[in-house]
Amino acid sequence: MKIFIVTIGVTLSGANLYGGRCFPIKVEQFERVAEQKKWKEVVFFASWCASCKPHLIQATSPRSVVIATYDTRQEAERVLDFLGIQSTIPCFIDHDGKLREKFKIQSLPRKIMLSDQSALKK
Amino acid sequence: MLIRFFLILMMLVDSSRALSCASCGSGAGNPLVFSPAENHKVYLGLGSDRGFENITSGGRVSSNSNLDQRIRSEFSYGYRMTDKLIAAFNLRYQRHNLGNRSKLGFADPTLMARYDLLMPSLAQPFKPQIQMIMGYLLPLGLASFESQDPNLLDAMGGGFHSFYLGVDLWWGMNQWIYGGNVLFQTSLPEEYHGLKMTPGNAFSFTLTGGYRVGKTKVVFGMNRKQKMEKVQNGVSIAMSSSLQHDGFLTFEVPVDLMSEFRVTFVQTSLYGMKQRMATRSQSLTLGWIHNFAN
Repeated sequence: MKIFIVTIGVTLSGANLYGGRCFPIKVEQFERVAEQKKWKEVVFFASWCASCKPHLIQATSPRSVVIATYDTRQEAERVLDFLGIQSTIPCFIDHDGKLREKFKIQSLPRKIMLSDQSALKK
Repeated sequence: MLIRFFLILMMLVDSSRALSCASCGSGAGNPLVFSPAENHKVYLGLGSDRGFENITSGGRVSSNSNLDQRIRSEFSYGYRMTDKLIAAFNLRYQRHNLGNRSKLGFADPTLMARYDLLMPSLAQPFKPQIQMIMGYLLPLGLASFESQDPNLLDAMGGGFHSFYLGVDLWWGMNQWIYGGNVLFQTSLPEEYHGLKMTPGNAFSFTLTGGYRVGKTKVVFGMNRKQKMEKVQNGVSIAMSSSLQHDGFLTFEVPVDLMSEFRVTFVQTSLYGMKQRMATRSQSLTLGWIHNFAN
């Protein structure tokens, strides 16, 4: 059920299903949805990370997804709106830092390619 | 006797130089500045200070210098205590050269803390990051008034327990980056040979600008340090207050995701600016900074 809700949320994120465009996600949910949606790249960012800006602006592929870590939902959404990031790009909040751990994020910005899905299986 | 007194005053001024730019993480005595994603960081630095000249209370440059060269090795370790608070320890081991003589010793270690009052945001590029700075300097190094060396070559420390409090502002969200800080320093009195000495309180102001060239950051700035008169046995020593303007230029080059090299050039007592009871020198520092995951 949760996966279904997240999938719908991702699909319709541009339509503000949750009253915003970024929403919290757990690692297991993310893994399943990523496989299902065949996302190719994940960009980790934070609102205070100046050098994240070019990575966010370049995340234009329909298979791109952005994840705000260290941020609240409001802060992350404000950044995406300010930078004019298309609302069709899914955005998640790594609210408990588990996605950061999963992908071994040690510095920001960080772009991870999921093309072979191997990053997800680690 | 007069020359020795002059040298002691000069060394007292010079002992505080570690705070101007701090090679050049900030103007707050420690080269480590953290992003919220960083938890442990180490800095290793190697530097050389040359071309020492003393500037008198009247602003005259004196050729009497008690030092030809200072070679510094520096270690800093920083640790994130909470989401908003980091603490960092800094220690220097250095060598003073004069002619064919040299002395080795520890300079005064510092313990600095930074507390995030306000974080910057990509969505609000003109909102600064504001940090509160607190610090303590332990007088571990031999002070000039304790030195038995005729040229005070073994005087590596200031001789006083000192405390720092300040605010650091930083606008770092755009191509051009700029910032500034104000730092207040006060020291506890020390008694030596029946003489109760208190160095004057000091204010330090740093203005910084910079530009990002790809992943490299070029940062330049100026530091003004103003120190009040020293007090001995309750009496202010006339003409012992000091004023110094330093300039600095830093290149920060990332090596990989976790490390960066930093090259800093500092000109203390900038030419053409007002100085008194100050030391002029040129220093070059090479630093390596590594961020340890978790």
